[in-house]
Amino acid sequence: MKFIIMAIFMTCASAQQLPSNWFEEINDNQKSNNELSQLEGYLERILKIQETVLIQSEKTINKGLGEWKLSGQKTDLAVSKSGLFGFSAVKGTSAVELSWSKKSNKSDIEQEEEIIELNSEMDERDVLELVRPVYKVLLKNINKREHRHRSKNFEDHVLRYHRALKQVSTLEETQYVADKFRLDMSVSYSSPLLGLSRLSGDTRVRLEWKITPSKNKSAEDEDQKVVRKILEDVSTALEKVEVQDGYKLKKISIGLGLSKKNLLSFSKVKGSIMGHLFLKKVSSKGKNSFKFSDEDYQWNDSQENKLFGLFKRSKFRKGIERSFKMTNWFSKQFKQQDSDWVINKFKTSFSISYSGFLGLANTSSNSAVSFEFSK
Amino acid sequence: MKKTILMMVPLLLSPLLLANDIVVIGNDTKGSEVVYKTTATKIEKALVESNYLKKELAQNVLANNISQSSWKLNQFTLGLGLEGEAGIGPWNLGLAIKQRLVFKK
Repeated sequence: MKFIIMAIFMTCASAQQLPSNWFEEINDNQKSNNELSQLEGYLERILKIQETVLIQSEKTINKGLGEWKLSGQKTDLAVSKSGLFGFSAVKGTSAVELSWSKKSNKSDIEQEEEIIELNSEMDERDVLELVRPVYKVLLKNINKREHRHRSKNFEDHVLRYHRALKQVSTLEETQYVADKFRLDMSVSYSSPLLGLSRLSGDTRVRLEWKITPSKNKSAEDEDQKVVRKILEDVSTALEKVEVQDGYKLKKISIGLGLSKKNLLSFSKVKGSIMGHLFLKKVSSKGKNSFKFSDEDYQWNDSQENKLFGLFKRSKFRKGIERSFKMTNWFSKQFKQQDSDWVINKFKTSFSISYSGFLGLANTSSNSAVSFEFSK
Repeated sequence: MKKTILMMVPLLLSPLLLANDIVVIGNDTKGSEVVYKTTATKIEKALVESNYLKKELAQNVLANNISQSSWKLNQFTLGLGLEGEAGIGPWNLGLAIKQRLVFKK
């Protein structure tokens, strides 16, 4: 009897749990169909809550706002280090971002942030001229001493990324090409509001570099090599995969940080400023036609001549393929919705381990690979 | 026998209660992971309250700023976390659900 009770208890308790191989590297070939059917029911409950909240909120919110109307909602879902899945709190990395809009309103929710548009071919002085006024907005509540230090730090990062991106060209032979690079800079704050409530959030500025294709860039450059390998790996990994009906793959982004000397690398440093390289599918092309170089990703400290980062390319490609399949699973669940409010767009985020394994991002990891699907 | 059956009832009911559980996951103010288990009913209530507070805030922002601005605004997003009265769980954990509302004309 004890066993029966325990079994019932365990079955229900694990409904909030992701299949183990979705977030940790295990030698496990077990089929996860049972785990997935439980997760399916749990995700359905999470979506139902949001539908109910939107229907209830719409009635009260639109009163008193004049010509303004509630047109959408964005909600984030998160994964704990032990693989529990649920709503995301404000602080922490999100695993899945949902963009809700009215079924009848087909227009997409536009970009939330103001974007400072840059180009990888721009002169450094022009870059600084565009970016400097941004610091004033971003750091307006910071004291003078801290302000000087942070401005210097931001400026330094922006220029280092810009120098790295100058070397990045795109390949003509791959199905996916480098399109743009995004860097979000933010300052968090928290202040009292209405009685016991507090208001928290962040002021964010988004910088985006358009990557200019050029054939003159040196293929020997370290940054160029990293980007070339990424394009080859993503193109190869996604060659055979198919997107579920209902949603289309809109964006793929790869998180890249700045290591000490070698610039673009998969960042594993918690809290470091990290940007995202966006890839675009060149639809006119069929199969990949490039000559594959099988040299793994590796980063050396040029001063100490020491290897400090190595990722197996085969593992990275396998990770891309698996993470795409996980995204497809979410896509299948979301397209089954039948309500006034639907998920128009969603994004999944995956983190990378030191061994090159890709799993759904948890609260304390950086997002290394993201897929964005939309209707 | 009766005693055993009575003891079994809460155990047999617990799966049904768990079936309504929802998890909120995030980091606290010190950056440590916090996992808070609550119910669908409580989350719904908190999110509706949070949305109402955001609406109040939107009204203030629109009244004070937008009307005086020369910029024509077509869309705005309230992406703030509201902790405390509208938050989830013990409020010193700072578990405000990450939810942003988008308004359009």
